[in-house]
Amino acid sequence: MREHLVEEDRKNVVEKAFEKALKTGIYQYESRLIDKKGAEKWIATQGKVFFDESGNPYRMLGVMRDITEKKNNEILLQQSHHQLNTAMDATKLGRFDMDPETLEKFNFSPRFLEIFGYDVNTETIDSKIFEKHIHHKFIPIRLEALKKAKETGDLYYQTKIVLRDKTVKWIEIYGRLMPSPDGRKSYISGTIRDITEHKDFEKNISESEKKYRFLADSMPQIVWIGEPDGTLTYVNKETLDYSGKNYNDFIEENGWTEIVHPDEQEENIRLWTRSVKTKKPFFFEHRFRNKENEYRWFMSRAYPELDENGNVKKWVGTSTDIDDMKKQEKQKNDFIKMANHELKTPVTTIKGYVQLLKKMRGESDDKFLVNSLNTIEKQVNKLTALIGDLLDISRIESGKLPLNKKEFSLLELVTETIEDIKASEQSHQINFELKHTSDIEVFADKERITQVLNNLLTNAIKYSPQSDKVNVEMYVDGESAVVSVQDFGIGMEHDELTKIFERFYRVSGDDEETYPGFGIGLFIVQDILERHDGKIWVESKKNVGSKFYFALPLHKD
Amino acid sequence: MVDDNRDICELIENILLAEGYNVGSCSNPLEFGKIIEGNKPKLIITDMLMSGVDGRTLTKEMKGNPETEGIKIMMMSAHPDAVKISENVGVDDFLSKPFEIDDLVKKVEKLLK
Repeated sequence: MREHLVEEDRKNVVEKAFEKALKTGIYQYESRLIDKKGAEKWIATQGKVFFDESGNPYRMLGVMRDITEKKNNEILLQQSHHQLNTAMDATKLGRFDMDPETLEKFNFSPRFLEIFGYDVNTETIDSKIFEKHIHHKFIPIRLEALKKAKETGDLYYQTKIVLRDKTVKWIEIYGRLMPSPDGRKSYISGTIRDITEHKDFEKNISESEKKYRFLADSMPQIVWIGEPDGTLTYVNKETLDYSGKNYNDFIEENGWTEIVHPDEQEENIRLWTRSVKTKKPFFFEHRFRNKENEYRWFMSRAYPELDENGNVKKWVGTSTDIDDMKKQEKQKNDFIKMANHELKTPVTTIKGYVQLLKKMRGESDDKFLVNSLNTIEKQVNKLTALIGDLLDISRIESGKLPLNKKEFSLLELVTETIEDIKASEQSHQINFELKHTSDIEVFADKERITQVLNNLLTNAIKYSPQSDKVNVEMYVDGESAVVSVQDFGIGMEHDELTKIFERFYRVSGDDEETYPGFGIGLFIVQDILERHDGKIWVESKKNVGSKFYFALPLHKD
Repeated sequence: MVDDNRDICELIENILLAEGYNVGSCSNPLEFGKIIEGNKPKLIITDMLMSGVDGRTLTKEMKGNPETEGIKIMMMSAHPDAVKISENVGVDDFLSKPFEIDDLVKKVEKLLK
């Protein structure tokens, strides 16, 4: 027996109990022992010592019980008590017990007193403390909660309380109906928590939400909010007013796809799914059906709100009615096309007759006649180019500038264009230098590239009235064919160099002298090159001259 | 030569006459059918957008009729999208307005070869 006892308990518990037993006649202890399998067990011993007539112990009779289970439960209970107290401390929970019939409270924890504004060390509170402090408006709520607790066994409610110094607090009560340990009377065991801060926070949140909802509802745009998976959880009032549908149609039934024009539905879903997957903003132009069953064009954009880990918290989207804009744009483009056609018809006749006259009378000795015909022809060609520019710009805006690409010799294009210019402009000497050992082939729209070079040459002549020379070079640089046009004219300040490629920008010379044109030539040129995967750039110095370069990708077989 | 603009008809007539061709013109497309009955041309130059009969309709009628399907047709137009449209109706060539006389003459020459 002694060998099995845990050494520590043998010394401190068993031997002491034995000494005591010799004096009192009662032998009892609880101690740990290790059984033959090596497991630790708890035992309880109770015994009686028998003494002879002279008072000497001569025999002891006792029982020993295995109390391992009971002991372990006790330890667990102690531990869980400790854990509970720690948790209650940490969450600042107060606790109390309550008689469900009389509503008298007892067994208050110190935190309970604190919440009600009493000093734990100097004050005590009585069983009716609660009734003194509950805010009168909440009495019915409390009674309702108590009534429910009788049925379900669970007590829960939130209420305001008024402290002695008139400060008002929000508290939350949780309780459970417990059978009494002695079986006589049940009681409610409850916790109490101060939720004043929480309530204020909630109030602020709901006020700010109200504010944003009001903002969203007062906008003429369609506004919506989606979850990370793309389902909509909010649409504003305008959405409902426009579509004539109700809120749940959008939230529960995927009503938004239903109002999208059938022609755009598939692409709409594809783009939205892609945005949801990639977390990248969503942009789309599509038609929505209104309550009169008519479709109008909208431009939609949605941005993801990301958390600190880069995950989507919400999608916020807007759709703006661009129907009128679209219609006007189409009207404008239709008008420009029509105007282009109508303007070209008289130009065709003038141009035709001038050429016919030149053909028939061009060799005449009448210098005045020949010069006049040349001037008219030159100006008619300019007019034709301007009419073409007007159409080009409307096509560029709508992204519909048509390209007719084929393989051709860039050398031929450059020499032909220079010859054409020479025929109508004698003011400048155009020098051409091929800085490559052979011809250069490109795959491009020949007419458009001619337009580019023509534009650069015309500009070079136009902006160098004091000079009589333009230099053209052509060479290969890496994977590109490059053509440069250099003049010795008015040049530009550094800050002008990027502006000249903007629409409607016009260079002005000294004394605000302006040069004729729409201010769209270089804008068109830049667009043509961009659409060929080429580029244009410029080097310039005020009053020294400019050198424009354009590059086209070399054609690869 | 078919164009509802009489000036353009006359212009082209003058150009081609000067080149030595035998040219007749028609500035009312509705009368075109009658004119063609009398003398069958080798080439028709027609504007695309005309009041009355459209150049596209005219082309389809000519090319759809076994008696006239051999006649070459060249479409002319100042309309920005005309090149594409005329390709689709099956003309033999296209000339955009305004044009260079040399281009017109070269094209006619080629079509009548």
